[in-house]
Amino acid sequence: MSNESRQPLLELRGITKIFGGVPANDSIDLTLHRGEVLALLGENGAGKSTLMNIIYGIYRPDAGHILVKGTERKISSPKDAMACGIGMVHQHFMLIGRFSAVENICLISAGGALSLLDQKKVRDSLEELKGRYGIEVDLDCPVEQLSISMQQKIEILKLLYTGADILILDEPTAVLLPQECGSLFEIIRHMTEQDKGVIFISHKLDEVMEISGRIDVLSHGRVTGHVNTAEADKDLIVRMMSGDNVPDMSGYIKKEPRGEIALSCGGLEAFDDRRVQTLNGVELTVHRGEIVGVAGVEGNGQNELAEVLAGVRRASAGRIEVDGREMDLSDPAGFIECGIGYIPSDRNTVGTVPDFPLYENWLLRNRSYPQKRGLIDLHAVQEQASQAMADFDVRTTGCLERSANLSGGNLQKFILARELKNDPKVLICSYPTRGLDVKAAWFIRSQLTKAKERGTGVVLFSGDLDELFAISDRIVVLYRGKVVGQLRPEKTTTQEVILLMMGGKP
Amino acid sequence: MSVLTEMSASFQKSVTHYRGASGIRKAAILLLSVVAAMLIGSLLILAVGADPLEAYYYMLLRPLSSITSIGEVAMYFTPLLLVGLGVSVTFHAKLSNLGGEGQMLFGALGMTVVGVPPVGSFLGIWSLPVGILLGILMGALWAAVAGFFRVRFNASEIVVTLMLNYIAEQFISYIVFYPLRSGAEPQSAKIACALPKIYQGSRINWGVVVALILAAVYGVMIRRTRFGYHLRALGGSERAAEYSGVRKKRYYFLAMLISGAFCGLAGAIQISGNTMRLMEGVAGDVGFSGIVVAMLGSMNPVGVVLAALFMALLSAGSVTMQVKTGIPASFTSVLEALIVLFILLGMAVSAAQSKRKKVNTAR
Repeated sequence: MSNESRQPLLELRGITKIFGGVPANDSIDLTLHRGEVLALLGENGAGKSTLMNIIYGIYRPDAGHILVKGTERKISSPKDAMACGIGMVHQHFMLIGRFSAVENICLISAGGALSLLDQKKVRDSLEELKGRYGIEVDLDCPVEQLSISMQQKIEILKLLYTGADILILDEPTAVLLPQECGSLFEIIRHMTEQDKGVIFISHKLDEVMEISGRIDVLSHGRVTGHVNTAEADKDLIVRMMSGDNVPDMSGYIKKEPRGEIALSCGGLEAFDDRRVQTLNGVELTVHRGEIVGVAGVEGNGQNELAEVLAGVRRASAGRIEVDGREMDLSDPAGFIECGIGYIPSDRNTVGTVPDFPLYENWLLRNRSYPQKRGLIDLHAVQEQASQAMADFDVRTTGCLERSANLSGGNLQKFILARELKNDPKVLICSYPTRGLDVKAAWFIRSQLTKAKERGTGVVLFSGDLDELFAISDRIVVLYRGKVVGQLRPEKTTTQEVILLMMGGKP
Repeated sequence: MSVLTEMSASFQKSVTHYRGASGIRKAAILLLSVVAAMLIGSLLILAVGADPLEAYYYMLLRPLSSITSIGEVAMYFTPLLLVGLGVSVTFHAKLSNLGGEGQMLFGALGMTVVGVPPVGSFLGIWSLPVGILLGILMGALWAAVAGFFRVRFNASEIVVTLMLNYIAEQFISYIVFYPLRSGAEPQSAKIACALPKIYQGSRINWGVVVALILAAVYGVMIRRTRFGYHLRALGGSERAAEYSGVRKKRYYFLAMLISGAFCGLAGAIQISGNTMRLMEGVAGDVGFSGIVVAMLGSMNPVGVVLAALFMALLSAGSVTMQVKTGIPASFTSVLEALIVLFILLGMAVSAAQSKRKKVNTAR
């Protein structure tokens, strides 16, 4: 900092936030000066979002103080935050698609419901801001017709219009194509030149090294490292991120010899729901009787890969072979009949129909239910479901219970029981233990291991590296929609996997 | 009829929560809705200076007093039941077919073109099965237009089906004024072959039996086949259905097609079992009342049969009631609307209660 005498823009002292007994933020200190970019790094669940939501007034801290320009402020709503000059660009944009940029920004600037909108005045000041910060964007086109990158620029313009000088960018590059990042960084540089402070959240090391002045690393709700970017190298940062906790390898099972290839795919490309291409040529082979763990920072194509492999999402290019037979990518039912089980990450509205009783959900993605003269034999279905629920320790009042009334762990066990019933050739598991308590999580893991021993090829998508190291026979790393590394868990370290996940080269 | 659009939309919204309610609770809500509507209706009857008990007697009990009047009830019951079943099919997939009226008209047209001379006299007895099949086909195709717009352009099937009604009405007007006109009145000639009667001396015909069999088929299809199961899954959670291998566009289209087929059959039976000739207004708003039947019957096969019976009694009895008590026959429309309002109210309250219960148990 050239001018040390100036007050820091934003100072957090001992911020603590506890959710259900678990501290999501544990006495966090953080300082942001004028004219600097502070990068905030951390794995999923490290507490970054919680911290940003506290700064932005969505959560109230259980302890600690927030100082804005030297004075302590109570921020209890985004409105308060804006009054303090704090602005945030969320990952999901808060824009009305049919409105132009000017109209969107008129929305936030309007006074009472009846005050007259002065579009001309808003436009003039936006034009001025565009020039000052080098933001190139069409102000009159309906926002929905603009690219994601343009919409992001409008969001930034919106913050600048409100006069924010503390800007929080929550994973701004996650939605951008690589070539679009440059212009965003250009804008960020213009902003810091004008004495604004930027908090830049990212998972991508290269970007952090390029744009930030200082780096704070969060791990398990604590700040585990501060470093000036100029003095940092990737290894140091990765070590700060993984902390000292080496995964517990005691539960590690000796690997079986691999069976024949159950599933292989090549050149897989797919688009996500926003029509952004998130798979860029995935190659993957899954053998019978092995667990392939897929690691990656969220948003690098895991959801789409899981759905494409399960046949639920149609790949835009590439091929998938099951048992050496090429699949028809346009026929989702074919995947089910071929014996591909799937545990989706959303168990409440994808893995089950919430309003169906459990025995009806037993029929979902199930092609071998009991039949009588070609019709569903409801009585036998109920018996079968009840039996399986007993086997998998699903605790509920019975198979007539509505699925929506089950707890996460019980529902997940139910889905697992259903998907494993016929020993699928391949089981795609998308974040199967997310949000579950420790006991339920281990039950799921042990069932996956048992399925593997019976010859199922398991593809396990997980955000929990300890879990991946504990039960996978192989770990593949997904980065920007591509497999960037294949590792044997016993021959690698979490550091190496994290580095690959962040786009680094080992 | 725009009220119905609104109602149907809000029905779809609340039915999700409502589905979770137990069968007894559902039945209670529906029964209470009918009772409440009849109570409010009594106030209206009192207001015009008539006796409510007498009015309801003529509406609900008198029609069952003789075999002749039962035959009249059946004239209303058959198409109401068929349209009610058709609309139910779409409700299961969280679609709304509000185009029963238009689809019935096309079904009626299908029956008429093969029933009247020259085709009718050539086909003879065969004009009946051929006409019914053609009616089913034409009803299905008219609904398929809305289905196509829905899956291809994501256009609201509620609006499209509703608008197609007007087109169908105008088209049928043209048909009976010009190409198929026979005689001075704007109506077609008499068709060659009528649906056989069950009992001479009453108008009741085998159409009733066909409709009841189809109610059973509908129940089996919805509950016991994979198609019906996936249709309901689609209504419960689109993504869960896709997870189960459903191609949702195909299912949405098929649901509209089947729904239109039911309504087309209703139209064909309206001609061959009731009016014997095509004329304007031959569908007699059954296409709309059928929506109420589906709601009141809560899409349950037995429920839909009972609801259709109730609505048929109202319609058949209303004429006698008008003659005997001076209450206009259109009072039945008031009652219908009140019933729908109370059903929606009941579902909303029930949904709010179950939500509150959930919050409490979560704590």
